[in-house]
Amino acid sequence: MEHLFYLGKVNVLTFLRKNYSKLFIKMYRSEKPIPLKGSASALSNNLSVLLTEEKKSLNYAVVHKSVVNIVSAATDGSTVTNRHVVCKEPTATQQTTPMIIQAKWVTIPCRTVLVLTSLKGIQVFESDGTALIYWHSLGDVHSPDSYDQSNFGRGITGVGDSFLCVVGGFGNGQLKVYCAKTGKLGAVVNAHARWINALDIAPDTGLVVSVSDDTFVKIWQLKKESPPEIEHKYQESVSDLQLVGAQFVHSGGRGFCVTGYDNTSVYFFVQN
Amino acid sequence: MCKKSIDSIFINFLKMSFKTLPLLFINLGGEMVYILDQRLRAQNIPDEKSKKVLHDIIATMFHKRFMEELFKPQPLYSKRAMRTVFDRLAHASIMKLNAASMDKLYDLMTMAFKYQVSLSLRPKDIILITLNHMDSIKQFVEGVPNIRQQVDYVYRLIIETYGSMTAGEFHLIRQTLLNFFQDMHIRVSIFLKDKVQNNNGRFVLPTSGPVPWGSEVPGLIRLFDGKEKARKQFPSGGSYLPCLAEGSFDMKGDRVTKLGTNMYSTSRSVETVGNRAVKSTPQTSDVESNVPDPLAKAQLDLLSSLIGSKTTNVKPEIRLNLFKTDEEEEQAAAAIQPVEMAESKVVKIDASKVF
Repeated sequence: MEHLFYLGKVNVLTFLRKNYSKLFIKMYRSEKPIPLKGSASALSNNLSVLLTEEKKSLNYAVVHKSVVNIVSAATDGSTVTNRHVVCKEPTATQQTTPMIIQAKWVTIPCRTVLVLTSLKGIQVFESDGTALIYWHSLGDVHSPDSYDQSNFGRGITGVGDSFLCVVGGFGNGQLKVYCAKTGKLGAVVNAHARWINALDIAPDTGLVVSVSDDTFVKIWQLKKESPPEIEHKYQESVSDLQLVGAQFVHSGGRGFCVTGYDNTSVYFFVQN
Repeated sequence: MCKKSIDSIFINFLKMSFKTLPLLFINLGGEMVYILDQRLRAQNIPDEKSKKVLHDIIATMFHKRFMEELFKPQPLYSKRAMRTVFDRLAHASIMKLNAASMDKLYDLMTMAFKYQVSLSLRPKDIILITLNHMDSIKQFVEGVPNIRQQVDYVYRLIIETYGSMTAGEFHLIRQTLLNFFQDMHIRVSIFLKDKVQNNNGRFVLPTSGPVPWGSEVPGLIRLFDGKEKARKQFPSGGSYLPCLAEGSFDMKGDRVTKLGTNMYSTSRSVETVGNRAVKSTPQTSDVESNVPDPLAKAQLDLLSSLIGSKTTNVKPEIRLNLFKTDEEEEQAAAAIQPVEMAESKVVKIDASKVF
């Protein structure tokens, strides 16, 4: 009996020595947060990130009620500037505070624009938010098609032919992965204990980030199987924050940032 | 995504944010009743007078015409308009509050409901919280059949309006409520004592306890290929338990959640901590405080006429104090401007004078 215990102890020590890095070094570490001029509103996908074409600066857009706060950080770390874009309403008299539902940088073939969606419609600005290019008004409210709002934060990634899948984050805290070609369900993850508010995917590596009202940010790895598979890589709880936005800042997933409701920071995590 | 489905998403969002006002009003009103009840007892106000105050306020709150207007689809009132509504309501009887006590009352009400919405396990639980408030209000007016009837009517309005909403619709309502409470971080002593609020005014969000009804405990990955082909576990990061019961959405029943029940008793006092000036200055974009709200004004006028008809000849007999002593109340009162008078400028509070 004693021999067995002794052998058991040696094996444990060997195991620890061999797997030290996996056990004790976290996949990501947190970095200095960037302050925002206004807190983040409770919305889905409340964080958009843009790396400017010349790769000179990283820009972060976070919605605060009827305003989008933009922080631009030069990639050489030299400067940080703040701007804000106010949601303009088509009518002259504002009866109610216009509420922005989402702000997102969208890159289309020849340019990048900043799209604001509000209760009154969609507004499209220059990517730096300086000029309103176009707006599409909602018009009369008619009875909507039944739309189950339990899907949020879908992400689509394509890496050649092999990574084509759709990841959906759901209100019951589950992530579901589908094959984009066949629509087949590949995986269901009991990921979070509350509503999932945002997802992002790193196209080069198939890493997925998910955030939730449960305070957790979790990182997953998509696997190039058919149907696609997924595994858990990392998680961190940002104390007492209902997380509302998440974006990778690197196409390989080497860094990501998150925002929380009622909080004025953009929190960063960098791979170790 | 085609234009039509984009429109329907926004329309749904708009529709849901237009159905949020009754929930905001009823829950804030419910908290107000709890706080007033506690203070009336703490100040040893005689029973029949206390009862009269609460009955008058509840009867006004649940006035049929006012409730019918409230339940019509409309955006939330501005913060200022909401504050004015409750100011009027608090004075619907023989009780009066000075400006400092009214401020404190409103701060406590809003932080309590903010806490309940933040801690709700799933968005639909906000209806259970509302029903908890309704259940308590019903108890306060036990023995007054005409007010009971008014309360029962509102139960029916709630069940009709929210009974068949989807999870997604409740989620949008929850977001609308959270955004109404954004940037409010007043510290409440009962919350600090119970360690549900931090010293920076943020609520503690536990990573343990039951998961919402309809959710699974995190930690399982299931892989499929037609049917389930494999299972993997991963550490959930918290210590969660399955949810054992849903809670009743009927007129009577076990709501299961304790959120929305009366957390005050004679021994647990009603206090905020520190001064109101500890609030970040609102961004210039926060137009609500400056733009007049015609819809709200119409309802305020209606409310005024309802209250006015009851209290024109009534002299206030009770002066309620939300502070520990009259002195404290005076100090707090010296430092603020009444909300209704500060029309077009942001109310500035001199932090050096506030207690």
